[in-house]
Amino acid sequence: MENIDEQDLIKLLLSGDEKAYRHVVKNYHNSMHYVARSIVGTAIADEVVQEAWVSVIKALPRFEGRSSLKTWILRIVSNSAKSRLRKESRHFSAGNANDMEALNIPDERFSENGHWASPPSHWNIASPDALIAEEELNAVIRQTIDKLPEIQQAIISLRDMDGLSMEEICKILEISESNSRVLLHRARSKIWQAIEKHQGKPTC
Amino acid sequence: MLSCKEISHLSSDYIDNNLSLSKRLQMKMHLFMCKKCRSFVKQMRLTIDSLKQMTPTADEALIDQQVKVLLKVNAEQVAKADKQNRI
Repeated sequence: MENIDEQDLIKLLLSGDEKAYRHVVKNYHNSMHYVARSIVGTAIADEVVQEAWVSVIKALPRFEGRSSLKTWILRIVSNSAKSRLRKESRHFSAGNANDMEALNIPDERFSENGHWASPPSHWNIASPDALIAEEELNAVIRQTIDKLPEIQQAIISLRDMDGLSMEEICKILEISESNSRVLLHRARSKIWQAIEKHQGKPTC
Repeated sequence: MLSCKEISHLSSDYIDNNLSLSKRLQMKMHLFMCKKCRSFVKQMRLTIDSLKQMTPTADEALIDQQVKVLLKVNAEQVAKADKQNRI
């Protein structure tokens, strides 16, 4: 099921194949949650995801394959979330990259002339495989993602974990490309800091 | 000349290949001379590559429950379509 062709997957879904449903839930559910949370907040994200799933199943026979199935599903989540906001007369405001919270790499790491005052420490780990194989570090990364502002969680998971393009992400989350790039960098910087803290042996 | 602080801000766009040619060259020049920034960019790349390999974690019980709900919705859809076809 892991490397299944998308057209085949859709056919299986339409025929009610349990394994196909298991596959999409396992691979898409988290991302759907991230998108919903970034728009409506954690409290009603679950409900919105449920609504979105129902819409997905109803609309699936009409899916034309102009985007990947995942992108299409995430857009449905985003639309459900936004219509929910409208019903509740709330407004959607994607994270504002101009706010001062959680700036990239903390300023105190640099001296006044912009050189490293406290340079990156040495990491023992040299490959992604080695990094994610370390359970503790894996947990640290996941916890750090969970603590990010919701919009940053959505961007980093869609971009780095799901491999969506920035253009697709901007459409799904209705956020400008420059804004989303700033937020993506912030999120990545936070994770870099968390790994560094864990690796934590200064070389200088 | 870009400062180390500026390099740190540009690192994501550098890794994503999203810098203008001139910024890219300035950055390469800095990296050529600055070991600390080289190691920072390398770590940032490792961070991103690791995220790419992380698989989604969903609770098995939650998946089971969700799959059940979806199969039911799908069966209802199919039944509805059949009914319409018969009419």
